[in-house]
Amino acid sequence: MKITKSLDEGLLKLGIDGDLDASSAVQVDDVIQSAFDEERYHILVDCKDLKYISSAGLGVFISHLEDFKSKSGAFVFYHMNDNVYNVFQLLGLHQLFAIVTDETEAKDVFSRS
Amino acid sequence: MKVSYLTPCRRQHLRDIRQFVHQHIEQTGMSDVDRHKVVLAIDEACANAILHGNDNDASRQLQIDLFLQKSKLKVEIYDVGDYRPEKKKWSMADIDQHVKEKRKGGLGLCIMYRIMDSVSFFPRKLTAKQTINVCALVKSWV
Repeated sequence: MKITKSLDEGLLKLGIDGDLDASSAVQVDDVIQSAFDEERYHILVDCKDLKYISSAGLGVFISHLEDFKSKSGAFVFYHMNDNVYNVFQLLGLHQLFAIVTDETEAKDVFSRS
Repeated sequence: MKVSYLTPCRRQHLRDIRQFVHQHIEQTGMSDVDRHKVVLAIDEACANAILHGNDNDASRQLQIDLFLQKSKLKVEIYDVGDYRPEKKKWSMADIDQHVKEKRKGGLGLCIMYRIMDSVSFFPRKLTAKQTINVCALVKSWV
C-alpha cells in the first residue's frame, strides 16, 4: 500500500493506493497522527486506488475521529468503490463519515462547515 | 471440494490469504458482493488468529481449509493459539463507544458475525498432547 500526501487549498489530501488491512493500517495511522500534530484537521481521503479495507483500516479513522472533531476537523472520503463502501455500510460508518462522489463535492463539505 | 492453504502467522501474509480465498470462491454461485464480504470475513478471522492468538509469530503456522459445496462454503482456520472470544461480548459493536474510546480494534468479530451465517471457535484435540484452535465459519447462498 502507498500513501500520497498533498496540500490543496489548505486541505490535506491523502491518496491511498492498495489494500488497507491489518498489515498496512499502521502506515495510515502514522500519517493521520502527523497531520493532527501539524494542526491539519481537514482531511480529504481520495479512495480512487483503495482496493480493499478491513476493520483494521476502519479502526484508524474511527480512533482519530474524536480528536479531529474536537478541532472542528473531519475526514471526507471520495472516489470510493462499491466494495469499500459496503464495508463502511456494514458497520453503519457511512452515517458517521462524509462519503461523497468526487473531489469537488469533498471540498464543498469543508467550505460549508 | 476441499482446498487448503498453509502460511506463517505473519500479518504480511494476509493479502496472499485473501487471494487464495478469492481464487477458490470465484467459481461458486455467490454474488460479487457476497464474495467480497466473505473474503473480508475470512481476512478478519485470520488477522485475529495471527495477531491475538499467535502474536504475529512467523514460526507458528496458520492453516485455512475451504470446503466448497454447491451453495455453501464452510471455512476452518487452524492455529496453535488460544484465541476463542465469547460471542456475546463481540458480536455486536457499539460504534459510538468505539469513537468515544478512540479504539482501533474490536470490529473484526462484528464484521465476521454480520457477514457469515455462523461463526464458532473451539479447541480440537489431535493427540493426547496436541490441541489446535479452530475458527469455523459458514456461509450459504441460493
